[in-house]
Amino acid sequence: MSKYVTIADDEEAEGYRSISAIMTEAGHKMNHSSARNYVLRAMKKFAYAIAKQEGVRLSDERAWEIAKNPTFQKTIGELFEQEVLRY
Amino acid sequence: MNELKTYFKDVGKYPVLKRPALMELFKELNETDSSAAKQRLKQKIMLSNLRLVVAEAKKWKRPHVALDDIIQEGNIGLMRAIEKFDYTRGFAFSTYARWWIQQAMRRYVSSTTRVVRLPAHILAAMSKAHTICNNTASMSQAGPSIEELGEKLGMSHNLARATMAATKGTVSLNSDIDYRSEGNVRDVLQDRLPSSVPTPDEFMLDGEMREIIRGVISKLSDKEEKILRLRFGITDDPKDHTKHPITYNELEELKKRSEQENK
Repeated sequence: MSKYVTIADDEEAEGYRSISAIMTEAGHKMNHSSARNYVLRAMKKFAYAIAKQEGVRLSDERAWEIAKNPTFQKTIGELFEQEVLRY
Repeated sequence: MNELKTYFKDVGKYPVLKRPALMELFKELNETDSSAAKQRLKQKIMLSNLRLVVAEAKKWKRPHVALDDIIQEGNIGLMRAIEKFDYTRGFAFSTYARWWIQQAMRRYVSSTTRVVRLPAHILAAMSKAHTICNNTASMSQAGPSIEELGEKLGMSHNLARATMAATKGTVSLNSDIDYRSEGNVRDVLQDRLPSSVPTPDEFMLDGEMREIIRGVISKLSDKEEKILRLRFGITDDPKDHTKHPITYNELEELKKRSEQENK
């Protein structure tokens, strides 16, 4: 399975290389793979939280699989945006 | 039906105790401390009054309510009457028990014959309102106003209005609107409801999901949250992270700072 996952059809979304460049410029030195890992780890947290709510125990492998899923990422992205922009 | 016949046959086997014998049992029940003895006495009283329940149940027979269910509810009422009866007052037990049996049956019949269950006090108010409306209508052409009804029932105008609305009953979504035109109530409601209105299920799911998302976001570090914002394109200017909306943690810090300043 590919390590890289692109969020489809989102012109505003940044690629991992530009994310790492912006973050490095802001004082958080990182390369593109670190940026990707940050995103995937956050996605994993969402996957675990949702599974817990449903009463399902996820294996680490399965959690990674879900975290990398583009549809899952897109859905979380939409919900994340709605929540973040509430403030 | 056979089961009911068997029940009637069984009930007939238990002798109906005369008033003095029954009073003796209640006296014994009142004086004994042993729970086993109390249980035995209650059972004896119960069995001797099962026929009373059957006789009352026949009065409450309704087309869509099973007689055995009414009897069962009546038996529960009888048990309550045994618990609460005070033999020292000198009244016959059957007079007292009949009230509890009827009350249990009335509640059961009222709650099962309606599609939407109504609280017992509203059912009682509806019955009173019906009597008031009938009496007023016989005296004058117009029925009582909501205000008059509220005053007579001893309830607020809003509750009186809701009680009157509840008397109108329910309409099936599949029922025809008009005998001349095609279509049913559901079609009309669907036309009138905006398509964007979520169903209750969707609403609940959405709410639960938001709670989860909110919980995870609150645990993300500033760095993680900023990266996610960039990834999902949540910013006015994606090239300038300083213009991003503030994070949860920053918001909490701001709140704390303002609280300290206010002190």
